Amino acid sequence: MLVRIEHLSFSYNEAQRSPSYALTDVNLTIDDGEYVAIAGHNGSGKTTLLKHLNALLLPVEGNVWVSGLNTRERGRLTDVRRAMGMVFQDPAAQIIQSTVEEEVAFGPENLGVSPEEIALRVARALRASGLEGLGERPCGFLSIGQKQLLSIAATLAMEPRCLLLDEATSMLDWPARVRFIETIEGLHRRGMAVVSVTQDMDEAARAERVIVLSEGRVAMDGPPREILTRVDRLAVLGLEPPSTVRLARKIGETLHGFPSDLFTVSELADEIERRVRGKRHRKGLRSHVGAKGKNA
Amino acid sequence: MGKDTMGERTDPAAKTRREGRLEFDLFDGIRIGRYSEVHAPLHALDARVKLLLGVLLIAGAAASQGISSQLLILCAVTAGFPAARVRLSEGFRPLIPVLPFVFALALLQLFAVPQFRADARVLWEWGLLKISTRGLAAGVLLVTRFTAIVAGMSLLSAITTASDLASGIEHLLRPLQKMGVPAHEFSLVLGISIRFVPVLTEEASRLMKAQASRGADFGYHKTNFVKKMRTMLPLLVPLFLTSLRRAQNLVEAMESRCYTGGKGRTYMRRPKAHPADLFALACAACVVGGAVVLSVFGADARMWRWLGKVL
Amino acid sequence: MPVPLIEIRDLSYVYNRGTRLAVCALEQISVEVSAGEVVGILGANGSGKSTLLCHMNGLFKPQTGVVRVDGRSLADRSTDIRAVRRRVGLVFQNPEDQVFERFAGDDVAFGPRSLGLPREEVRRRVKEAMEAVGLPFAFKDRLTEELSRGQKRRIALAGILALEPGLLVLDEPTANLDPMGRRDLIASLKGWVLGPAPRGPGRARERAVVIVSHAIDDIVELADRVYLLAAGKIVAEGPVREVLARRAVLAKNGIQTPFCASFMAELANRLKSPTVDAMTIDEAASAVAELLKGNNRLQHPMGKARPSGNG
Repeated sequence: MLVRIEHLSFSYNEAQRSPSYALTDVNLTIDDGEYVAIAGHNGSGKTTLLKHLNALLLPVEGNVWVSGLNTRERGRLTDVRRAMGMVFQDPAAQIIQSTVEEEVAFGPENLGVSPEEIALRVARALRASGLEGLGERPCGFLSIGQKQLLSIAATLAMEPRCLLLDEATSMLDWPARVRFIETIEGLHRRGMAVVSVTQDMDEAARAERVIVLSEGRVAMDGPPREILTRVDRLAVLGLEPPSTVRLARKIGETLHGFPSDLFTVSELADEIERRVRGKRHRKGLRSHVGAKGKNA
Repeated sequence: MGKDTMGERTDPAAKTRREGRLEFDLFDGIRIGRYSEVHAPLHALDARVKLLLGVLLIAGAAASQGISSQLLILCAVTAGFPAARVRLSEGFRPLIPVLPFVFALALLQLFAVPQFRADARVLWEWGLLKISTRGLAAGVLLVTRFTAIVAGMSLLSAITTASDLASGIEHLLRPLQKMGVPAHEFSLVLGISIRFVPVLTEEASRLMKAQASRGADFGYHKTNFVKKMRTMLPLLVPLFLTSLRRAQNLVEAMESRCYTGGKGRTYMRRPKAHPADLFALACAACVVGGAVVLSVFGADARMWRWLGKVL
Repeated sequence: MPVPLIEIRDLSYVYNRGTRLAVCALEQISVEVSAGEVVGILGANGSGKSTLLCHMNGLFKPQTGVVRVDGRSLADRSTDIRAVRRRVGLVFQNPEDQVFERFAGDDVAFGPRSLGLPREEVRRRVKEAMEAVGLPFAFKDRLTEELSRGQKRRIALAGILALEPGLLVLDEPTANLDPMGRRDLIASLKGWVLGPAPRGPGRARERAVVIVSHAIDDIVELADRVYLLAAGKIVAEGPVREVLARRAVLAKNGIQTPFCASFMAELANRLKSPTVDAMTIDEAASAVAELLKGNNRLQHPMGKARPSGNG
């Protein structure tokens, strides 16, 4: 098990007389290689939860175990953080060094890895994130999309078990976003666990599992197909379903009996096509028999 | 084809958001020098050596008293520009904003240097104002010294990247780490500061545009200091908040990558001194040594006497 | 024919013109916005959007070409640029970063106050501006540091609306907003451009909005007309439906096709039938419903079919 969270509660202002809790009694586990999306309205605690996974925040109540280590254990902080690589929302704000190579090497250098091994890791990480050949480039000259890929490379160099993404695509334009998601999904296919906080429901739909937070608690947890088709429940939680589900729903409003549990584009298109061809077939039969068709 | 500098930043391919020469252009004042991706002999020097060259240069120029010494150093620097593939016109460009100031000081030297030495000949007199050979010498010395130092700094910034600066300082200070000097932390701070100067400048530029668009008037005609500060608030407050936020983000990023200070860190690239580095250092030492020697042995005095005979 | 609110003709702009580092940001841009319109300028990062934006209220002076607001050229010396900046309200990306006053109401009042307006007038404008963005007047006493991003953004927008511009220009208005915040903002913008109730029969709307963005959904929901900007040039212009149906052109220039448009195209492909331009979920749903109710072809509810293909 990669992550185990038990009775996690957290408040940013616990010292006050009546503190407000950002997270209340959160319980969940995450396995190796899982691709989890965390969704929720603004202020639901998504980012707060994510930061507990690499011990940037420590629980006020409850416990968080990462790779079998309790995040409260002071001596093991490095081990926790090397296992969980985080990519933040603002591409420019998380770059520490001046050149691409140096940035990617920063992590392994902190871990005391030998220089030869660092060089290997840097080369591997740049390749895996599609930034091969850009080693000498000063970071200021990368596009926003490339900067975000650089952050992926920088975490990969630490050989983590899981990537934590904090709304990592929200500042990217479409081409950069596509490239970023392709890179992440490629890494996932090769065994990397991914926990991605996102506002984009179409993006959340691509994950294996969706956790919906509301007011600091887990409101829903399951496969995207189950979670993201429950339109009314999502509306109560302040979320919209992905575009395909919205379209299916809308069609169902005028056309009673149209299924509302269609999830992917192909499913929706298949259903519509099936019905059209069915009608055409029936119409064909009727005119063959001689009855009037329903032609408009 | 990119350029990285300690001040200016451009890359046509990346279509940067640099401002043009307008009321909101803040970039021009920050330029110190230029670094080009062209690989010239001087670029390949060890970062520590580059910094040491700088120290030697300043020490040499400051310590030597004679114009001849300064000229020697200046010649060495001028010879350095081709070795760094920098055109002389570009290399001496940073002097331009400084020159008026320097000449003003020189003029002061001209008139103000005490005239009471026996060998001071008065060249020109008008009422209380006197120009003597001493004054002239002092003025010329000032100009040449300034020129030598600024040109030298220009050469250095042309061959030194921000990474070099941070890495050089860190590795120079590393032996002191045992005594508790936080070498890596210091170099990290330096590197980040340099890198964020253009970032914050752009931020400020954007803020100025945004605030101007909603009626802010950045006090071009306010004379009262307090009022002037008040008009800067729409710029200063958000800039301050943004900087704090960026600092916070950066800290989180560093912690996520397990940064715990300089102890126990390894390096992907360990600077290693090559013969070329030692050669460069030796050359610089000779030049500086020569300058000091000239100064000590009064080459200047001889030169003036000779000039005096000729004129 | 009434004069367009803003008219840009053959505008070109080159950063670092005349130097080795010249970058052409805009080339022969012509844009026109008249009262009552919502116009979109669609472009990916690096297309020149920001540069174009800065020309609209005189922050940048055109190098070649002309920019006219209410018929007056901005390059004309007699034009009062500050008046232009009141007439054209420019809202930069993430405007919540500009908020600097302690109390929300003060920040909204900053613009009117810097105009030297009397207290009552300032109060009236602040109230109206806050209502236009969906905030109650009582909100003025909230501390800005306690506001959420969405709330701060509305305050920043109100600050510009309080100057009572005729043309509102917004850069990426919904960037970094959650779906709720986005919906509220779009509703506010739609409400604002409609303006107060017409003072008499036949009175046209006097306001206009320009949305500069790469977010296709914003343009679809708000704009009537759109210009597609790529690499500093306008590569397409026209009614929103027309331009956004040209999926190949959009994709080539880094713009995502709206979900509905690409879905309908997929459907048309499968059914071997002409495609229908549906830009929003509602339209797509209606079209599909019509199809399934019995019409054998994909038909736009208004009866207009379009030839399939990528345009």
